[in-house]
Amino acid sequence: MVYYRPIGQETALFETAASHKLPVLLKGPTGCGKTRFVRFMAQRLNRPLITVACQEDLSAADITGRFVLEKGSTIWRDGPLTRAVRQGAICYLDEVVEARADVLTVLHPLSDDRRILPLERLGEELTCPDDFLLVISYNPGYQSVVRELKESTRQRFVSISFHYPPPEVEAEIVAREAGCDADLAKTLVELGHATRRLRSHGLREGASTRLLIYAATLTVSGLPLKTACQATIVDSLTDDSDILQALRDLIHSVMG
Amino acid sequence: MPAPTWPPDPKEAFKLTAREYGVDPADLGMDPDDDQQAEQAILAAFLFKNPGRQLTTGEKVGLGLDETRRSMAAWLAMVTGRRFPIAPSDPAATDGNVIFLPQALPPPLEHTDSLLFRAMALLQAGFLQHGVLNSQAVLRSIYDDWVLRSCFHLLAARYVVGRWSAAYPGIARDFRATAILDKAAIMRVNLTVVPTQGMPAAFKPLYKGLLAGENWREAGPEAAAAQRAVAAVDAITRQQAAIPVILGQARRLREAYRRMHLGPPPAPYFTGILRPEWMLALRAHDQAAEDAWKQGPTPLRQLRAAVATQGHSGGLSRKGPRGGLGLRQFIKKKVRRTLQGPGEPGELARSPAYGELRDQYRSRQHSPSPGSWTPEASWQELVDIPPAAGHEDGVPYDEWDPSSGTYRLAACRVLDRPAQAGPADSYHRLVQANRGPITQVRRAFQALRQEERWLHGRPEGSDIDIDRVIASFCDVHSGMEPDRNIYMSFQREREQVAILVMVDLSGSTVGRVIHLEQEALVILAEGLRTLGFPHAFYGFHNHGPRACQMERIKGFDEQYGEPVFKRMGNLQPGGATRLGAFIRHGAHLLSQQPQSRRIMLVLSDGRPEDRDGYRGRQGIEDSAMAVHEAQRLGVHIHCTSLDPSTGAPEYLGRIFGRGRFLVLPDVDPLPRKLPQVLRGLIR
Repeated sequence: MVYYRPIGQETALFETAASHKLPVLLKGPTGCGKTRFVRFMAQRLNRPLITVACQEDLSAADITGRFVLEKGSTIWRDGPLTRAVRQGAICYLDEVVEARADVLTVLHPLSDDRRILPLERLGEELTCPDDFLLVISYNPGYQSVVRELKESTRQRFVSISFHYPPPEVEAEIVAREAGCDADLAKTLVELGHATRRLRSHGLREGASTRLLIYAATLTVSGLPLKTACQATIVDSLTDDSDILQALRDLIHSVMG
Repeated sequence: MPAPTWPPDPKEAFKLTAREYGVDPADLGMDPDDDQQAEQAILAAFLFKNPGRQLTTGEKVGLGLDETRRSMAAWLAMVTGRRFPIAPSDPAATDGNVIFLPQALPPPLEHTDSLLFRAMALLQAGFLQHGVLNSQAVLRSIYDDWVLRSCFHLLAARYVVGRWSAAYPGIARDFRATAILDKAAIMRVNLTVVPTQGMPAAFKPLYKGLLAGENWREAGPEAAAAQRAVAAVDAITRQQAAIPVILGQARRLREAYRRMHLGPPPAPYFTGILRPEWMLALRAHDQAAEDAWKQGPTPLRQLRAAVATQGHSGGLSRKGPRGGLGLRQFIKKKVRRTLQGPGEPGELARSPAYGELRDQYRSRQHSPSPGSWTPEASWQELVDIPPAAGHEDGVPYDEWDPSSGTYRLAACRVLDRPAQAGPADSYHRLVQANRGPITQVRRAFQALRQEERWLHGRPEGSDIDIDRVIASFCDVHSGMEPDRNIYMSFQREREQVAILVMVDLSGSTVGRVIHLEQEALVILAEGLRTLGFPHAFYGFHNHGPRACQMERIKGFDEQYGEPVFKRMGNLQPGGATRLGAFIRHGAHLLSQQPQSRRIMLVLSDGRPEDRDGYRGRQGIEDSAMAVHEAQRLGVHIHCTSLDPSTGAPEYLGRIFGRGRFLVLPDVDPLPRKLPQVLRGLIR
């Protein structure tokens, strides 16, 4: 069973959206649990999950499908999106703003009341079964002008915002995931919380829950705590020498 | 200066301090036998001065502040959750916003120097963070009694060290390590170093715990008062109790020292000094500004008085009685009628106060002064008189009124005009002085321009796209029309982006900020020239809603040359920041560019604010609406703010949205940071 600790109303929102066949947009900073949440919900709703990690070369054909040659003839091979539609699965496009513009165009008829997937090369138009659910995610912290979600896309989705959990909940998550004691988890969360105060003031993002779990995991495996923090938090967050020094000093202040 | 000996009585301590300021105590006319008078004379003369010491050339020093300032500011922000600008001044102090630290620590340079700097910064931040200096009453109490202030300072330092140590184990260890440092234990009265040897027993318990060693154990009857005070502070468990306990104990100590004829207990180097006068002065200044706003500009007050003497006071108020004719409308009507019709001298025009106003108005008509704003200069905006002839030329923009949820039509006018030119060598001097950063920025921008990648599925190209060929082959086999886009091409240049850089030139940027803005612009301009994308530079500031000036430093269609260099090297600050108007005009300029990607980079140093009520919620909400409008025009806006205030992230987030702003509480990195921001946006 996938572990996910609900923070607010996100599970109820997702379930209700899914029951009404409404597509879902998850937004939040990196490493705050968006992907884990989708896996959790897929399990809870008992639906297959097909995940696509989007990147800048991902085209519409990559997700819908294409003809390929096999034994001297051509056969059609479904892409992950088409597969999800046919199976009635949850299709999760992670960091969708990274994908090429034609991907978003394919999503439009899927994410409004039509719920169809036109496959021009096959001359087919798939109608989504009730269980099909489109879920996309993005991190609004991106500052690049080329990585913004267009209004016409975002207004087709039910949006669920994710933030880092409150300290006591985050400590619970870190302890559970890394198998560490509550004190270590609390110390790491305190450290992570402090780094987030520097967001937009030297760091683009503070330490994510995921990084805190990594630090705890390395520590539980026997590495010294400061070494683990250096590797997972300090060096992962920045290359700026002054900020690196500040983070090292912070670790010293928090941990003694 | 001879070293003082113990016991340093108040007169002696004051004389020493007077000498630090280069003043003969005899010139102050104080009675050398009257402690009270001596205190008052010294305090009156020096309270508002900064005894800050500047380093002399060749002076041997320890670690310099500049070497550690940036990382320390980041660390302090993470530990405290507040962003304190750090500036140089000795002794360490705070004015409530800024943490002042010595330009350099005493020699020799030691590996523990950064630890000492951190302890000093944390202590000053702690005075604010833990509420010790937040009370106006406390500041007033310790303001004019130096001995009381010194007692309060040491007890408060003790309390703050305890609070930080309880919160962070590493910090507790740092303070213990600081306590054994020789430099931390240098005893000073202001800047005068006083000996530890021979220090009165009555002082010693105050340092126990703050400093290590046996020196501070004192059990004699003279030490009893200090021991009691220290024990009381150590017993504080709730923050609400901190101020009453610390101030109460400091008062008792002060009385005890008065009876013993003792002056202020000296402060260990790392504890710095308290500056209640700075904090009171800042607060008084803010309060005065608030009060002035509430009362309105001086001429309007005079005008109101004049109206009242003419017998119209009965129903006049801002709320608009007299059948709906409020003061604002009444004045507008009267002034307009009188100014427009020389032959119709109204009753208002006969009043002496009005005569002065008319003269001011007329002089503004002929020579609008672009200097700093004064309430007197903006009275016409308040009463909404038709603007002077030259001011009608601008582009009108609507403004969002959050209280009514509607737009105010043509509420402001933006004048788009070339910025004033100065000497060209200023630009070239800045280029010379920044050769290193410029080379780096050019290289970084060059790399952006020459982004190399394969584009798949092109109608023509330098290589065959195997995947596409197979797909086309499949199409043919399936009896479909094959896709002819079967080539790959190598892209060397990316799609162009139109870039507008807008720089805040309001009056608050006077001094170091404007200088660094200018430096940042020059570096950015040199980088953008390499990049070759269409771009423009504008400065913005305003003198009321009808004179919002967009100073064109370089237009989109303008080539680099002496006219641009002369304008860029001559940025002139003044006026206010009606941000919404400038964002709307900037978006308008960008929307005329053919590129589909448009970036507006705003550089500002404070909240949107103008003198006619465009401040607070009005300024923020209108600016946020302007950003929203710009986004609808396909303009991506990012703000780099130099506002050090704690509330900056909140209002910037409201205006620009999450992830679309960067706050630099310390202005020094600006020239280096601005090109990085732009690069991040384009990449």
